Amino acid sequence: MSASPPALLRRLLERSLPAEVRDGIVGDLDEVYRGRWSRSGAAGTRLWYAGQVLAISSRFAAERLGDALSFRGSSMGLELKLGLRMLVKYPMLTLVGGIAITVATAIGVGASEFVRDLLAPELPLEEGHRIVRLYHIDSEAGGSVAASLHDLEVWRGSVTSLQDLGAYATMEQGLLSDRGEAGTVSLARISASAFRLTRVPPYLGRFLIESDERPEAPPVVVLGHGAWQTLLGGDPDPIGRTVQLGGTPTTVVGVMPEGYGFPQMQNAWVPLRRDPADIRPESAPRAALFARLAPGATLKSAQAELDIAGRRAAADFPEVYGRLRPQVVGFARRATDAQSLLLLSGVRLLFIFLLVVAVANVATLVFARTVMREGEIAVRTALGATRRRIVLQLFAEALVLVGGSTLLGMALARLALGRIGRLFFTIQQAPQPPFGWNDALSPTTVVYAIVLAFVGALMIGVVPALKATGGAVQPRLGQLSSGGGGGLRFGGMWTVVIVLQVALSVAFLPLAVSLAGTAFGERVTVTFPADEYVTAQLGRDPAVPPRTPEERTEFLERSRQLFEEVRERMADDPAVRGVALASGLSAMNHILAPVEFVGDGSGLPLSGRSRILLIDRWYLDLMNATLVAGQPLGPADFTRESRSVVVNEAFVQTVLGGRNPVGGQLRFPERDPDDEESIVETPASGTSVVVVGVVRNPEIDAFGPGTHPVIYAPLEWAPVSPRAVGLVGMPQAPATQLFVHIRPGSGALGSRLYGMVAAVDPTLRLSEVGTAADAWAPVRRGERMGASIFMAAAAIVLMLSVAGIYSLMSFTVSRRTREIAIRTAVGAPRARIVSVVFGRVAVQLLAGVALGGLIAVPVLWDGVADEGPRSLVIVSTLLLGAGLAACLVPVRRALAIEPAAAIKSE
Amino acid sequence: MPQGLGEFEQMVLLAILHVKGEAYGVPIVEEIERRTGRTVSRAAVYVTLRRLEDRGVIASWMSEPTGERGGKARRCVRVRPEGIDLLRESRRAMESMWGDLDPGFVEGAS
Repeated sequence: MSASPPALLRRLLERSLPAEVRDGIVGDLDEVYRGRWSRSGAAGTRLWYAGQVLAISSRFAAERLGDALSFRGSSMGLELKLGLRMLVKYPMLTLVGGIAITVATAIGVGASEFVRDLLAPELPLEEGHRIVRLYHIDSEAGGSVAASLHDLEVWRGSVTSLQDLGAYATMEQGLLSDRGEAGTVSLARISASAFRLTRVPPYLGRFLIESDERPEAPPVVVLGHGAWQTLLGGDPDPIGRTVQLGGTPTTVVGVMPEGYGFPQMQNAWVPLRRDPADIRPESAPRAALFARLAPGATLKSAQAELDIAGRRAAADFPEVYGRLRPQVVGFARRATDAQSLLLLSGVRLLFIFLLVVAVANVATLVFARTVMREGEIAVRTALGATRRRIVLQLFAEALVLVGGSTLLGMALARLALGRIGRLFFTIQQAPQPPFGWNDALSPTTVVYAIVLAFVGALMIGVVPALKATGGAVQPRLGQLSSGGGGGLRFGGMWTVVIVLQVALSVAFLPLAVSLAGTAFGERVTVTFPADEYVTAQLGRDPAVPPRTPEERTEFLERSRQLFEEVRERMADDPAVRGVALASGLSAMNHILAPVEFVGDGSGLPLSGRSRILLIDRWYLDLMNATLVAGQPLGPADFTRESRSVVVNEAFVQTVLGGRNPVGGQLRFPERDPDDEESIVETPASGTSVVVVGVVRNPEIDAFGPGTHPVIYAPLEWAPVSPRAVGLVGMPQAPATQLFVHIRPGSGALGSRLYGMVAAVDPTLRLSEVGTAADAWAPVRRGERMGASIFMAAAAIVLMLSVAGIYSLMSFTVSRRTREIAIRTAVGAPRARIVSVVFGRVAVQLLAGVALGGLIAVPVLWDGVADEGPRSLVIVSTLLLGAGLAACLVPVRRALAIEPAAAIKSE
Repeated sequence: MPQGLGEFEQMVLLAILHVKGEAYGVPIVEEIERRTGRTVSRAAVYVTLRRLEDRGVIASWMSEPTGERGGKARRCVRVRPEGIDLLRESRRAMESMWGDLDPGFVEGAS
């Protein structure tokens, strides 16, 4: 082996050195390398060489940077200082430009980071990027199919690129401690290999080990730090304590450290036990599979091995595996489909668009200011300042403005991200953000924002500067000495920008005003006593998962009985006025199922979409939903076979256009397959039901996002949901929404409710306990936040429009000062002068309003916002008024010019 | 008006003068290390050489490429008369600062 330095390092060194010293230095290091090689051996010399390359290249990089920032004795520092001074000198420009760029950056960075975190978060684990998940793609139907425990067995033995392969399934489960503490844990049934894979040692005790997975092993649980704190009161010696998990006495063997939540923010882990029957290919339960890439392996090599395994499985078990293609992807990567990437690109594009609008505006403002400083620039040029120097100074000014605003915008985004994230997951009804979610800005986003800021500064500083310094100095000096403005002209570009701004304001603002009205307006003061209604989810976890359809039916039937027992027990409590059960919180359910109103069959059917809420016989009374037509659902209607429903007034208004539905038939047409996942319980397609009555809109159902059509059907229809089939033999437990109307002043009921539920049956689980006001708060906060973002964007556009119009006027007037003065001197009427000056602005404003109206009208009339048309008129008037008001100051100034003074200057 | 020399710049210039034969990066570093007994950052030496050349204190030329240097030529340097003047001036300034101090202190410190 020759004693030559590593080629890659040598090339790196060559690249980093200036041409004039390159050969000398590289040759010197080669020479010393050979000398050291014979004395110190290969390894030490290579290490030395790497150190030298790093030191020398970074020293020269620093030198180059220093050179770049200083030129001809003047440093960039000085330019930046001057830039700062200019910002103070023009406070309005600084304020308007700064706010615009700050808000645009905050919205853009925040949205882009949020979507990025959502699509590809990073696992906060050692070499987290090497943790993968495995699933199948259905080659015919498309879409992904979970892998099975059979796959786990096969791949463990055959895929060498993967290690610590395991499976998990998650569920919410009730936990009752040996000292009576009760609550819900987010549980994972998981292979013990997960803990080896994540390389996180337990905080107390031990984590799960392979022997815990044996069917005969005693039941054990590892708790998360949070669950240990809240459910075991942070007991310093929790190991060995027994808790009831879904009714099974289970021993606590360990506690994981704070922040640990693999795989999706779980806070309790029990071993995934595998019945030998579970690994038959045709009946093996499906599960989520994870693994770590073995040392030296890559996603590509793992995929290649899986492809082979997949082909073998397809040959051996064509009915099961014929269409399935195994896939391996990064674990945290949530979505790989084109749609998600499109979403990310869309958000980024929106960011760039926002920024471009803001930057283009600020550029025009800066340009207007540069025009005012034209005299200064011409004099400096005449005194010998190079064009480069002047451009650099203007660039530095822009950089200070844009850089400062970008930093501020990023700080705002960082502050907002945590809140938005938590809110988002609350609205999604996730107990907490997923494992790996973080509020910090990723380096990619930061670099992205900095690059955009730099480009923005170039646009704002350099473009107007080049325009202002182009051409010969002499004519400009001449024009200057003759007292007029300079020779600069705004191009048609500026007119386009102003018209677009006004159009955007007109298009955006009415929508924002309407949204804000909904979010901040009358719904805040509801007459509905939301604090008197406690809601919770009541569920049941099977101790032994039912396997056969018969077992499942029996389990569901028994669950129904237990839920009813809970209802009765609570209704007996002196603090309780009434209790009812329903399939969910109707106002939280945003998904609308398609329905057709057939009536008596004589007319054409009416189609629409409605929420469907399955209720028990107490629900409508509890919510004070008085009957306005027809009859209520009677006891005989609360059976599985019943086909009677009632609808609310909103349904009559929205779907039927006011027609009387009583006695008419409703049909549920073919459902969109995408709705299959929805949480709406709908009867089978083609089923017809009869509307027997109409109730006043129960306020609880309207408390959330507006009043929506609701069909109330008997709870006995449930469960027909496909969610009943779960992973790893764990059917999604039946769950129902509990509504408790409490007597005012009866104190906290929450903790007592847990006790009542546990007393009925230990397998019952109560979760998400809170008042109706608590339950809806996140939805309303979300609405408000959305409206605030809209308002902020609209406010920027409005502010920029007014500022732009103001600059245009100032510019036009300053350009025509002499002309105006002379016209005044020769006796032109003021009105004529004003109309000449205003003419251009008025045309721009009207063109903008017309264009914005074209965009806004279809959106507003589409029913997005109730008071849209009115707000459109208000906003247009406001904008025209603001635009014309912005012209007042410059016009008054022009008219106040003494004709004599103007002529003298001539 | 020429700028004065920093301590490290003086060391590099003096090393160039001390080196027998062609003065280039390798012997310059060795010379400084041998005389001061300290390890010297090679990167600092190269950056200093370049800066001194930019200031017209030293001059450089390329020798013939050699095999033992991977086919690369040596960048040899010599001190220009302006450099000698600057060195002398630096020495004078130093001596003047040391002058008139208590001889006991000077002895003890040396």
